[in-house]
Amino acid sequence: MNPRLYNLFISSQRKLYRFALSLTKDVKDAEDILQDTLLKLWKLRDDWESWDNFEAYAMRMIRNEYLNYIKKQKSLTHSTLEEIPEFAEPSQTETEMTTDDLMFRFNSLTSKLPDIQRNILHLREIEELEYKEIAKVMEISEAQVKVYLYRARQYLKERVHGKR
Amino acid sequence: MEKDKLEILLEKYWKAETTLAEEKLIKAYLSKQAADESHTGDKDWFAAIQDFSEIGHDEVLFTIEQKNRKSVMLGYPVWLKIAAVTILVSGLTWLGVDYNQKLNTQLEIEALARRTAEESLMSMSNALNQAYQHLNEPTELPDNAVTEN
Amino acid sequence: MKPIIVIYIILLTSYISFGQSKTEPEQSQTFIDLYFKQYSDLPKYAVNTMGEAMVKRSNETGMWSHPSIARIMKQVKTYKYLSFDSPPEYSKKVINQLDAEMKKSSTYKEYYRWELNGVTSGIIYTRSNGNKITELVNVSVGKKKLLVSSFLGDNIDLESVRLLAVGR
Repeated sequence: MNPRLYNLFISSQRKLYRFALSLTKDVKDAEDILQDTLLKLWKLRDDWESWDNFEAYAMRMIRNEYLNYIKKQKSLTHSTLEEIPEFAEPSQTETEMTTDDLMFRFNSLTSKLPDIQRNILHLREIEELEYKEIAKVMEISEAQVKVYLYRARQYLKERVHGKR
Repeated sequence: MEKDKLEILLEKYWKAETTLAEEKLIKAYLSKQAADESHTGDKDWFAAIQDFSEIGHDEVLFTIEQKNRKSVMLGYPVWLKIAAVTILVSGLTWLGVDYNQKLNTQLEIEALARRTAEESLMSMSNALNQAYQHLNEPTELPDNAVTEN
Repeated sequence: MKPIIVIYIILLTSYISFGQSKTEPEQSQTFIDLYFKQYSDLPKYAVNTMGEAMVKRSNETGMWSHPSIARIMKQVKTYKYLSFDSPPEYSKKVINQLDAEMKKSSTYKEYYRWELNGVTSGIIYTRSNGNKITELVNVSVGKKKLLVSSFLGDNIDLESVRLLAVGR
């Protein structure tokens, strides 16, 4: 296997995982989507020279995988009881921030945004992609990326400077 | 960075007119700022970004062993077999689960609601009992205590 | 009777009937509706209601896991529960906010609160109509979640709730 491709596979995992997490907001689902996407990419590895940007290509696949996933998903909307606290059990023993804790603030602030704006915001703020790269992942024009990002930031500006 | 420059950059940022380099500058600057009253909202937002950016994934989800690293290369046909079996097994599982879910969704919702109600009642009951026990625990009276008969 | 006195009586009765309804929340509104709607944009915010028909059916078909629970649930008309993701720091904020709201409320009374290492683990609130408890609320603070349960009824007996754990 081409060592450059090998390195790309390994080095992009973290970014891809974060993007999957941003889409699903769930650790397990994000892991499943990442795994499926990496397997698909692996199958296509012979054509990788034709992908002009590995990360953008992989992120687009993550997004497509997610869209397929939500089409299939018919999960129950209610919450599970796994975390009902037992009486008199220490409730704050963890000092280390978990993945859920780390994504909590970002997700709370952006949860009311339309998916497309939230996805673009993630790619720009967290993954620090250029407009051109975001356009490739989202399969829209650069101009549309700018418009969506503008709307998302305007909403957030009000959110962080205004209410709660 | 001067305060005026930060103000200008932030204004540009919220209008989505900043470049990536400028955005990195804002992030770096605000992360070093003390938690004072200025720019609290902006800091909240950039702290949320910072938090999310720290998410990593410790488990390696996908590894490829290579011949030149003195390990066995996962051969294409073997890999294909594993993948096929995995897909088949997970596909069948999914089909089974999906079928059962359709049948049981309503019942599961009801069962879950009942279980939550029961857990909640038990949690309150435990708490109230503990309170009762504390109230009924005998406490020693101080020597100079006056008791009524 | 002079007309002016009649007008005063009308005004007084309308004040009593309408004025009071403003300070008292509607019977159908629960603790969750009143104090937790503001958090609806938080991750995994989910409210589920076990309506009167479902509670009744569960009672009639003996679906409860213990006779003592069944006895309590016979006093309950509706059960509503809410859960959402909330890390410890955020839960603290929510509880502080709730404490502030409760200071203003004449409808709900804090019945019991339990804490661990100075941190609130749970609170029980009650709403009453005279001597009868018409709503029993349990707020549970988990490691990553907040769960609020609200039991609505005409006369919920707290003592039978307490005896649940004893009788088992």
